[in-house]
Amino acid sequence: MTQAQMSTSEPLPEPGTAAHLATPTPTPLKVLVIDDAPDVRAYVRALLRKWGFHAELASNGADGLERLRAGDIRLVICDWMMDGMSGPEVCAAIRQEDFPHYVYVMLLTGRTEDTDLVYGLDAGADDFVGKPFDVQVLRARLQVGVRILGLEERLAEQNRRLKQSHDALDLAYGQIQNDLAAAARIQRDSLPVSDQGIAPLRAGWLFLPAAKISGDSFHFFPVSGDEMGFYHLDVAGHGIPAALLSTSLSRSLVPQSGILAPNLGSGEYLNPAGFLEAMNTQLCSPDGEVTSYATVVYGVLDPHTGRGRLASAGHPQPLLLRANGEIELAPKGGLPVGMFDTADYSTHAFELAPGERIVTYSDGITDCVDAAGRAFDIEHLCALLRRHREASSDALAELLRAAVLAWRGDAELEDDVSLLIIERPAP
Amino acid sequence: MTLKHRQENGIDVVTLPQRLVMANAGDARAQLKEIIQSGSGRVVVNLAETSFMDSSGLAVVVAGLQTARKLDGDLYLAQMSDSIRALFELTRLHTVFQIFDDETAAVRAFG
Repeated sequence: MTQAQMSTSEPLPEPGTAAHLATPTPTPLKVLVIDDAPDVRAYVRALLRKWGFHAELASNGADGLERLRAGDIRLVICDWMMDGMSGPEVCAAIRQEDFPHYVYVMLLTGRTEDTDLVYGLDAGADDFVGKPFDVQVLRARLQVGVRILGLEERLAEQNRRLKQSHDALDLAYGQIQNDLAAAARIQRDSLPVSDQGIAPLRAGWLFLPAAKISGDSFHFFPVSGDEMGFYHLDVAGHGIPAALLSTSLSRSLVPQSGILAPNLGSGEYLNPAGFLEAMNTQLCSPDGEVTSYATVVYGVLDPHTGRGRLASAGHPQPLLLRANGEIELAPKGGLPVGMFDTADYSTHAFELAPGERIVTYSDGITDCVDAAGRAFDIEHLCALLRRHREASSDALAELLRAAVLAWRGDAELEDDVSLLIIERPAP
Repeated sequence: MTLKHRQENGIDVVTLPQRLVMANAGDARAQLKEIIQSGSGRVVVNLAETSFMDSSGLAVVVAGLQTARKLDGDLYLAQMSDSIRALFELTRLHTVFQIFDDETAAVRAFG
């Protein structure tokens, strides 16, 4: 078996080895011989053929370069001393060209001084074969070239694959960003747009998702001829899973579209504790181990009498903003929904005089820390609510939004922040 | 992250990490479950080192309680900081767990 046959036809496991260079076409590897001596060209061509390579010939550097531009030759044997361009000049010219692959150049030379070698290497040569050359040495050095080209091809292949997967990741990342933006839009659509539906009650709200989409949600809606319902929900965790659950819960809770809608006016919507029990049953996992849970407040309020009822499941206690500036905490509730199927909830009555408000919020607002690690906390929240109690609910929500963002500074929010104000306006 | 764990009179005593949040909650939950299921179901979770726990962290402890009770055991909490106690009170979970000031008392409470 000849040397080149060994290098081109023997099956080797790894792509990019000598064998790979020849695949998928089994044609022999092309070697360009650039030499101005016809006898040397003929001799080297004969050797190359014997070793299974395909030889192409050029009698000067310019012709050789022209031949290389076809792009199908990656291995060159070039004489040093030639008319016109010298071997090192040819090397330098090859390095200047923008070939789609590496071209491996061996210089044939009688020069063996170190300074000559350095000059040749600097010009871009990869290897040298002394002249007159030893046939076995030429063959072995050709094999080195074949090996290196194999490595180069393997690297190029790996780069192609990396680029492919990079492009695929880029695409997927863009897709996810688009999907998140779309999910955020859907979520915003499930939040209130105006408080007209619960007139004469007024509402203001604040919604700041920690990561584009949020585990918090809230809404209000008429639940009977006399009463308006409102809820505030915080699904454990944040980001996509929390937001998915939060959005699907919101959809099932808002009466117009919800599965509880048939009960509107008669069932759970008028009974806050029953409402939370239904949610708890829906969320508890059948194997008895918590998977997703949420804290929630649900209440109803009659705008004309100011009488309301609410139930809470592990949620921060709603704040009752009194006309005289006092702030009362609504009664504590039961466990979060989705943890224990045995959890029970109770309904508590509350009352709002004209001009008073009830505020529900997620703990993202009170746990929000500033650069020094201090929490926004409930005292701070109450102080702001008290200080700005003359402001409309809308304006109050806007003030709080600015206050939370200023508190947080440049840092991103760690948890979703939301707050809902329901107001029984003064006549 | 590996949960600190030892056995004392057939009771598993587990110490939770300094921060128990979404990032490590899945891992902590799996380890705690494994510890409980290969033991007697009687567990003391020591929170002395835990300074911060988010809602995902809370789920780890609740899931541990549920695993223990399925085995007719229980999960007691010991040495929680004021801020963690506030979290348990906010979510009303302090009504579900037996909470002890120190670990020895919690272990002894299993009798």
